[in-house]
Amino acid sequence: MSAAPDLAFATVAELGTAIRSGAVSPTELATFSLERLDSVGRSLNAVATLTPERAMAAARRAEDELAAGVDRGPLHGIPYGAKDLLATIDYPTSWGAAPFRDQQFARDAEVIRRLDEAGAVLAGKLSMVEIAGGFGYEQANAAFNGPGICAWGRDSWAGGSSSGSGSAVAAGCVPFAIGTETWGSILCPSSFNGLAGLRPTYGLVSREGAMALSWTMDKIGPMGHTPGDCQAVLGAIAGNDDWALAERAPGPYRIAVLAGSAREAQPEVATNFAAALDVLSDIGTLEEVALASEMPWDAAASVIVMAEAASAFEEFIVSGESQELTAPEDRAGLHHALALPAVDYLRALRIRRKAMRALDETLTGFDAMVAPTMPYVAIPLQDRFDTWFGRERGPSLGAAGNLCGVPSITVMNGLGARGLPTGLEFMGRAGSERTLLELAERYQSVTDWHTRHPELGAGQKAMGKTQ
Amino acid sequence: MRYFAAQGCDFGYRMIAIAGRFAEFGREIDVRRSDMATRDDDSDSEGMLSDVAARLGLIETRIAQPLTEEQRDEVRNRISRSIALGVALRTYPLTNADEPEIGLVPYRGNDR
Repeated sequence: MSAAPDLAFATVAELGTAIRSGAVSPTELATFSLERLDSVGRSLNAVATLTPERAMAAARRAEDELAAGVDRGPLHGIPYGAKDLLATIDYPTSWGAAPFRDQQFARDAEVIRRLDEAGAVLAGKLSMVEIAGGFGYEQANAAFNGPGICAWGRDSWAGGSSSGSGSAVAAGCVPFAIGTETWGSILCPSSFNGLAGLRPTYGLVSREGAMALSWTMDKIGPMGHTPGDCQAVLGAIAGNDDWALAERAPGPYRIAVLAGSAREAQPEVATNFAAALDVLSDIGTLEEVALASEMPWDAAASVIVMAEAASAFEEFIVSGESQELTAPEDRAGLHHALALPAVDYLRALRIRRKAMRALDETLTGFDAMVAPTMPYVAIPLQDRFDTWFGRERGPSLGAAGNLCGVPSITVMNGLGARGLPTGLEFMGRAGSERTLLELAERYQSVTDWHTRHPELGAGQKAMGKTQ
Repeated sequence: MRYFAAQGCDFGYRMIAIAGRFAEFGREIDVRRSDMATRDDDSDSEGMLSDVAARLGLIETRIAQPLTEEQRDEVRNRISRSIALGVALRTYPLTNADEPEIGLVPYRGNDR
């Protein structure tokens, strides 16, 4: 490695300070990230394509600009990875799927363009579940370059569909990555890999140049070590500053606790959630709250995703190209939605309008609603999902949050079964990113879970950041 | 047959038949909370089977590559699940005044 190994787990903020103090240069950082992605990252199946030419050019540009007194902000000279559904010129954008492995686009996605403008250094395109999981995969081996492997345990799944984004950041390859979420795909891999992951309000970050799975459910957001880093990234990629200007009412935080959300969770998840509530009770007031039980959150979200995904990929399905997908269950996984009645889709959209108002009403008066991000730790690589996802579980925030397009952030709140991370989710009203980020940052300021990092095997042990 | 809505990762949610078999689909759907309705008579069962068959027939007229038998079974399973979702959506009452969340912004051209 060309740079000190303790750079592996440095935050964006720490690296920015190091760059400006001259302790490390953008080209050293870029070289470090490229080498680590190529070694550790590939061992976790986190890398789709490295972008060394682009990275070194951007790093040199950052060095020249900073030396000339041009400072583009907190991401200037910072390496990052982008989920491989974001278009990048000169490199493939595979969508995680064998039929698209050589696909190229003529323009960068808007998010990539904005990160370029902010001076960030794209080090690689990161692996993902094929077609962002839209074809109904039921096990981890659902990407053409292999199952995403959790940085904390090589016998465990990285989560999805932003698998590579999760494991690459957790393994210290890049300090932040861009993921996307239709339903769970930022929060799940962030939770499984012990990261801070932010799903912004729907529409805040442009989807131009990003693969569309579900037009009204897809969101793009940052994954990093801290809420502060997520905030710095959001500042660069968001389409407006309204979120940053939104202020909360003064006084202690008012936190809603999703009733029953730890029910049926793994014991350690429940224990860690209870411990997190103890911490939060020192930060603000807690009140147990239930989501409207009569609202068919899951059904509405499911039908919307099915219908939109089947339409977005109609030609791909009808032509038979989907038969080349990696996971056998994906090959005919969306065929059923070709016959989904329009009245079902429209009914889901009609329910959505009422659901948004109902959710906002529930969240009004609170700064955030909290719940365990996932009811279990990263699942074993060889297990089929119905062993886990099919179990009866307590309520969760995923369906309601994604159906209604509201933001959520997850942060690590402990270690659970098999020594793997557990996550704490904060969900808020539309446009409440600033409050969520501040609250999550406040939680991290009185805990130290975010300073824990995985052991990565012989010769790759993390140093500098220890338990 | 028991359906459970499960949060997953992106389209990792799924309605999963815990019993693992669909031989009697439609005879009784045991639903999770108020999200789904219960069916318990034979006419509903026949209707369900007929619906599944009709949808599968429609799908197979459209696709270029025939499904394997295993795939046809899985497509039937997933059709059943989406039918169940439709049932769940209809447990929530709507009136004519309840409009869908669709944003139409008429295009005005670049010169306006």
